[in-house]
Amino acid sequence: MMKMKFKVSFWIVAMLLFCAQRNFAQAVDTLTQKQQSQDLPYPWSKKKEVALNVTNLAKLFVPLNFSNVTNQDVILKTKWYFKKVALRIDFGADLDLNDELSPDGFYLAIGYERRRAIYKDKWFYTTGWSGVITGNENDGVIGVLKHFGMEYNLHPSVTLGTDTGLLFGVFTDDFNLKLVSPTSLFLQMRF
Amino acid sequence: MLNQNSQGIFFMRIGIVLVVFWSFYTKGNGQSETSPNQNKFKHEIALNATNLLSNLFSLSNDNLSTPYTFVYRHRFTEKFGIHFGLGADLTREEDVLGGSNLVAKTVLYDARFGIDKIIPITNKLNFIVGLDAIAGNVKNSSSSTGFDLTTSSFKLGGGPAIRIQYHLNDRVVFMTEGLFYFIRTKGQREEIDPNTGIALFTNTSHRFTIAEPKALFIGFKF
Repeated sequence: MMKMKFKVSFWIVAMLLFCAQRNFAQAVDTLTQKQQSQDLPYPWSKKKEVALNVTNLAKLFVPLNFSNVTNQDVILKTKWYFKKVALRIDFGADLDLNDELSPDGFYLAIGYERRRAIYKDKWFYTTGWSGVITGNENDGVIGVLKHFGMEYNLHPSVTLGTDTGLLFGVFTDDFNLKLVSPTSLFLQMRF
Repeated sequence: MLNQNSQGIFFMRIGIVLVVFWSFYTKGNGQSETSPNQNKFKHEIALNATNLLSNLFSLSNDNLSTPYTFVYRHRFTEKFGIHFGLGADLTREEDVLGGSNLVAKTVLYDARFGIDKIIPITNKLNFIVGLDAIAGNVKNSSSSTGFDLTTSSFKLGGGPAIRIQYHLNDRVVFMTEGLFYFIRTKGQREEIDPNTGIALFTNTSHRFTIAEPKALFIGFKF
């Protein structure tokens, strides 16, 4: 029974993704055509992008997903693309601002990013470097992150993406190196 | 029997997902040239449907939501609007039979008001940047054979908000939001003990929170 449930849920998720993609893809609409009329090297050149972390929200709607809601470090990503390179800021915070500033969670990364196509203007990867300050009640990190991302275009202006990276810096007391695994799903809009 | 029930629920959910899939698929197939007219209606009423939809689609028991159950949105121009959100809960429990004469009451309300700047991304999708002001109050009180305990907190705050709005058609809209709120909470705890009298404690806290999208609203335009 479990095996069958897994198979069914896999196909349902595949169908929903196909469906979402189709619904967005047919909408290469007048608005987007108007926006793409400029003569620039990439469709995302000179555009702003905002991405929201939708991991926990998406999790609620996936059939047979029993995993619990997880704490997310980065809630918002913003990118300002120049011709080829973007200034990127990742941000997340839950701060108690009483007598003693005690972060339940804080994340700030500022850096640059490049994006390249992998397959048919649908799949992209991003890479870049960021300076990172992050911390919570117990520990903190100041370091540098080499980040890699994978994105799927639902629409020329709407992307689903995730990120991974190699973080090295001072972890509370010691110098350390950490591979940040991809755990978050971002819905990104370009305008 | 239980196993049969869970199988029934499982297949019911699959059925719902397939119906949703089919409706989206046929919509994409048949109406590829048309797109919703976002400016046709100025008023919108939205309800927080997160738990409803998650119960239909997923077996997860996580309850992830916001306090604002009801949202009214009014669009003045193509790119500017306001919204008003409200959530409330009122419960009263009595346990007379247990002999303790315990009475517990909870009164909760949350309200918010905000302005929206609407940035169209596609003909169906809007990105909305807003500025919200919020207020809320929670009061829990319980009393039993002369002992009273009341805790209350009043919160006030606000901040920017980012919203993603998807138009299924002219009238139906899905919306989710990320919030960047600074909140000041003033709490009070009052204890009444027949032996020692009244004790009152107060505290104030300030918090800045960036909240990920936690709710999915279904809106109807008119």
